[in-house]
Amino acid sequence: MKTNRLKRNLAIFFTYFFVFCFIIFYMAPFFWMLLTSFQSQVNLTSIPPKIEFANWFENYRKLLNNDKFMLSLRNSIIVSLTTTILTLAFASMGAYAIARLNFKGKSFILFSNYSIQMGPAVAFLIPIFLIMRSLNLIDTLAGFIIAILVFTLPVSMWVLLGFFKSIPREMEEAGLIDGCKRFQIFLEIILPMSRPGLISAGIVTFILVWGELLIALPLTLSKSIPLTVFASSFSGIYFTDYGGAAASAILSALPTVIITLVFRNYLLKGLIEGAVKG
Amino acid sequence: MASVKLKNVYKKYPGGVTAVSDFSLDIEDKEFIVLVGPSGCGKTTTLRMIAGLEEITEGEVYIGDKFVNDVAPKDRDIAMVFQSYALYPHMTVFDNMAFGLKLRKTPKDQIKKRVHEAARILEIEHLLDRKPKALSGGQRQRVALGRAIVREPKVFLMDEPLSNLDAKLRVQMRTEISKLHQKLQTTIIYVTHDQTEALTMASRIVVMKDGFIQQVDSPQALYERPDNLFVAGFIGSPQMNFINVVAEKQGNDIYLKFGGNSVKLTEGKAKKLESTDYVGKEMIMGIRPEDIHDEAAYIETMPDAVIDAEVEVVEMLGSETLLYMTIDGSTSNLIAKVNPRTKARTGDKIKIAFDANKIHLFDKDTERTIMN
Repeated sequence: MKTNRLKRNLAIFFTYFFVFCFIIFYMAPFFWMLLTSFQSQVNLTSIPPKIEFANWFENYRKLLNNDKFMLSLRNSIIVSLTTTILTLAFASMGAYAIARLNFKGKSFILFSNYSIQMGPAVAFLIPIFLIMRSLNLIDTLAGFIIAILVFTLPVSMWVLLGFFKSIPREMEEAGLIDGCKRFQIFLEIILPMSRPGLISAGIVTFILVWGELLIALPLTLSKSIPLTVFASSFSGIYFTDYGGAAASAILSALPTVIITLVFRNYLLKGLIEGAVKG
Repeated sequence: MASVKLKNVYKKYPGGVTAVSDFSLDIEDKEFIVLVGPSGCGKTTTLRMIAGLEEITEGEVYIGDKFVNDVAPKDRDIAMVFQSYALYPHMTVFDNMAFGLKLRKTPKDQIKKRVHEAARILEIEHLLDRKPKALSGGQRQRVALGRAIVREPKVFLMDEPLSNLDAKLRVQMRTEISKLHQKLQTTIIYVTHDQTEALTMASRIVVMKDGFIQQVDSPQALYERPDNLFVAGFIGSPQMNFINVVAEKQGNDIYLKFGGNSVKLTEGKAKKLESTDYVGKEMIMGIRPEDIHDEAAYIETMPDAVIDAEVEVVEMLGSETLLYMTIDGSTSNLIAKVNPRTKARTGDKIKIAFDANKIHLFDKDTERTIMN
């Protein structure tokens, strides 16, 4: 009896110990970034670096007075929200069609969907750049949004497909007998029933787009740059503004951190459902 | 209110599977028809074809006088209650019941009136603001019925609506659906695999097997005069006993021989059998458990229908007792439903008597009834 209790306590201790180590390992860079964002360039370039909190808001003040930062913030908000809405609209219809209808090319669409998720994003970069250039969409928000949809649609379709497949067909049949047309069933029965899936697909999309740099770098030059591209501009050949870069990175990360914390239950539910039933 | 007519209806799936074959049935207005049969017999497919949820491969379906083969479910003026209830989880009970009416652009005051009226009949008025997840199984079932009632359809279709309820609630809801049918006076087509539900609720029962109709008749007629071996075995619980017998003529009498036993047919049945060419041939005898008796008084009055049996299991059910027995010299087993005061115990060798009036005979090859 006593040995059992000891074993259980030891197990609990080690579980907590490993979780603690993991948290330290993953959160340390973030805390270092937060600390850096409060320091002046002089402190950061001293050897050894000094930690002071005398003028701790200076980097943020500078950023908020920087027109380019405000422009990139505005761009990130517009691109992220628009892409999220468009992704949810197209992905939900696409996933519903795949989940419920039989049509030619269905397996090809599914295969393409998974290939895009599995393939490296950089492989799609050159064709996307060439297409956008020929459409005169370089350095436009529309071009950036269209390009990013290539990557957000498959992920959201995968999340939603599992949800739609888990809805019993009888629900739709009840709708048909009640008097619904096919699209009404989708709007009035399927979508409301898939709310957790839609929310998690929306969050995943928003986070993906908000943190997107690889596609944004070649497609945005000045007036359409998002926050990620702006943050990367702090690093130069001769000079790197560590404090500014850290403050900008913190401000960029803030919305995704808040969203993830607020909606973490939906996010988990949506992704697990997709993984199991997809 | 409407009649429903199915004329030579077939359902064939790609790959050659035929779920329903040559299904023809005239359902009269206000009738309570129950489709019953084992899993995979095509009963639900038939119901879904009437609902318009399944395409009809061949044949014609009429609701009232209207040919509905190509009519969308929403335009067939039917309502359906599903096995899983299929209530919309994001809507309240009121909205669930009102949904069909809203889609048909019924005026709001009418919707409110009809939903409240249906809720009153089903005693669910206090649940109207709740969501389905906050309801018990029985309450959900009532809401599903309510959703069908408010539409005031010509025909109600019910697909095993009680199979998700516990035994006690099922019995209660069975009575309520029967009452509802009397109150609403609407045609109901009801699918179940539970023969007790079929027997207690239906005005007529359609017994199905492998996509074919086996027999259509009133519950009483099905029970007393089954058309074939399948119907005889399917209807009734415990099921009818079947024993391979040979009919032998001795003088003016006909005896059914099996193992070392023989049972004399009644005069009427003997005459009937003689008019066929089954005398001397092997047949299947059917006898219902309640037509086998172990009381001494009964055995004395029926000396020509007494056989020896050994009791293997005794099941006390309170109002009756089931005896599971083997017959001397025969591989057949028998179940008898006897008086609970029986003295028979496991391992006892007892005498039992058949009620010769209630013997059924079936052709061994075609399994059709020779006589009931």
